[in-house]
Amino acid sequence: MNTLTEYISIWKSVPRFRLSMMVMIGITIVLFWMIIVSVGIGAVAISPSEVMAILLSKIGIAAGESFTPVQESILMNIRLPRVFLAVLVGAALAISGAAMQGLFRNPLADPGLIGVSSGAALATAIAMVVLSTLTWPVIELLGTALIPISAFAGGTFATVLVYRLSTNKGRTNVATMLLAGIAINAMAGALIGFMIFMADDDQLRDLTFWTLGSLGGAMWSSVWVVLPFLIAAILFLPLLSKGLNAILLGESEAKHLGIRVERMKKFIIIFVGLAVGAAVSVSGMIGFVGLVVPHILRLWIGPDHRFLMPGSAILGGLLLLGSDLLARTIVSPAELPIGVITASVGAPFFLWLLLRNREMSGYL
Amino acid sequence: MIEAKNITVTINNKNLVNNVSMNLQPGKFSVILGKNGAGKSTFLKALTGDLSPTSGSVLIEGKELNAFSPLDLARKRAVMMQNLHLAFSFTSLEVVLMGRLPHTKGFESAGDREIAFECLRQAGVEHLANRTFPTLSGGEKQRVQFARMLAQLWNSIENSQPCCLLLDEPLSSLDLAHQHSVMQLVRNLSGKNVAVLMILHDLNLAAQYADEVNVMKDGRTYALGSPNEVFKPDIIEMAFDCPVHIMQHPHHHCPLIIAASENKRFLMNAV
Repeated sequence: MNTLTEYISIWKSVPRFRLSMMVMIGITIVLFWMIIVSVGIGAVAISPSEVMAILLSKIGIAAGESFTPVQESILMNIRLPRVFLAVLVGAALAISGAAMQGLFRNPLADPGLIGVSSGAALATAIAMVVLSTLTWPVIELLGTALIPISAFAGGTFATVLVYRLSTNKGRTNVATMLLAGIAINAMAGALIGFMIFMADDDQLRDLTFWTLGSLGGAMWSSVWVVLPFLIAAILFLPLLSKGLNAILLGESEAKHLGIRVERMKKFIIIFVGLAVGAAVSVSGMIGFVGLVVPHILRLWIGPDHRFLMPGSAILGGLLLLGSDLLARTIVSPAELPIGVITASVGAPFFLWLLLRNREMSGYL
Repeated sequence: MIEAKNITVTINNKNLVNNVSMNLQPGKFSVILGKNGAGKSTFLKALTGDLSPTSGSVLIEGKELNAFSPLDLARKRAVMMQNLHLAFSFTSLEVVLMGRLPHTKGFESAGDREIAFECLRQAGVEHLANRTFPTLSGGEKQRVQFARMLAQLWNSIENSQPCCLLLDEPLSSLDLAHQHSVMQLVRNLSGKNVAVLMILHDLNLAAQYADEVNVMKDGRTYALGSPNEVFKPDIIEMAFDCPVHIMQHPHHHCPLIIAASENKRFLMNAV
């Protein structure tokens, strides 16, 4: 690694490095500010200083600010796990999107592309419509965990399937993987349609809301279950940044630059599959984060994955946290599905980016 | 440095490359010539490891190609392929800096950036350093790619350690002046302990700069030797299906090849 003096000289001499660093620091500060503010917003208001006081009291430091036990209970048991989950899910989805776009050398790739999301959705549909009506002891034991576990299993299964279909003699063909993903998406779509046809009115409503995504069910228990998978992707995928930069030149080119391309592909597929499967299992289908966040950053700081990967995680967390805040306050006391917010904010923004980009040069 | 022994590549029961051997040595500039579909690129891919040969072996410094890790190879061998497609807006300088990837951990240091600038300068594209790569013309892209090759081998070249440069038609989009400046650069490199293998279409460029020429036809080596040995009218006519006149170059001691006007046969076939 570089020494501090080297970093300082890079900072001085490379404008893009300077811009990227400042953007990263900026969005990190905004993210922390947003966490403190958004845990205080809701039916019971908690001011930022009260939030700090409650958190400090938890580690044994008594702060001057006073707070009520209701505030403490709501913060600790309802708001914090939800905010925690929003940040982690947003970060994992966005960093998975950045990794996929790099791997496919295509700025339009998205974790949904290789079938993870639709595999998870199909498993959820089956769980809601078929499994939940059965009275097997296993299913009764699982209880409310049935749906997240099914979603996770479905997403992982779809990932493994796509990977197997596109890999021959240890080499993964990325174009085949894309096409296999399309086929699996279509297949899952058809089967989900069949489940919708079989579903009764209540199941139909549950299923529809699930596909639109929500963080409403967030509890510490669900946070702990998905945490390892999300954290693994968020911490590990940035280590592949240099390889992802090289693979943008082409797979052979990356290999001739010393990258173990096949090993890198496997790592990306595994970590993205697990992270997206885990994210979908707790929050349903949340579209657009994986696609839009890396794009925004790329237009802002350029395509270097060494900044793009960690930056996507931070900005993704920020975006989903903001969207969730909107989702739970805009029609309060009811809640909008978060997928409605991310798509209705993300899609026009994305179009605006494309139009602006078309006028500037036409390259992403 | 790199030795290809009896390479055969068979795909769908067709021998694309048939029993071709070459020995690339530091200081020697080798060129492969041949018609379209003669197996030139396939042979090069077998040599780089992108394609595993059906039979035969590739030895680097006496050891099997598979014995080296990609990183070890990248430090002693640079490969420039045809038609690079990059959809993301890296600048030319950042593309060249990727050539430093096998030599750096973390971010490229100021030293790496100096090397990258020097390579851009040698390839005659320093004025494009901050242009985004996808907006460059074909020839400009090719020269930036060439600069990336220089950056990758820079340490070996500076320390006169043997290393290898494999190039698949690096001149295909270049104008006359730049064809010669790149050939001159490669010529100078081969004087600095670099083993060079280049696939080329221009016979006269090969005649003027190469030490060794391998003329391929139908997957086989049709003729292998120095330009003076290989550039004979009958060999070239048979290998390229095109009659030629061969004379002495007025300024260099090398053959000068001109397509003969009586290639009406080819024109008749085309009609």
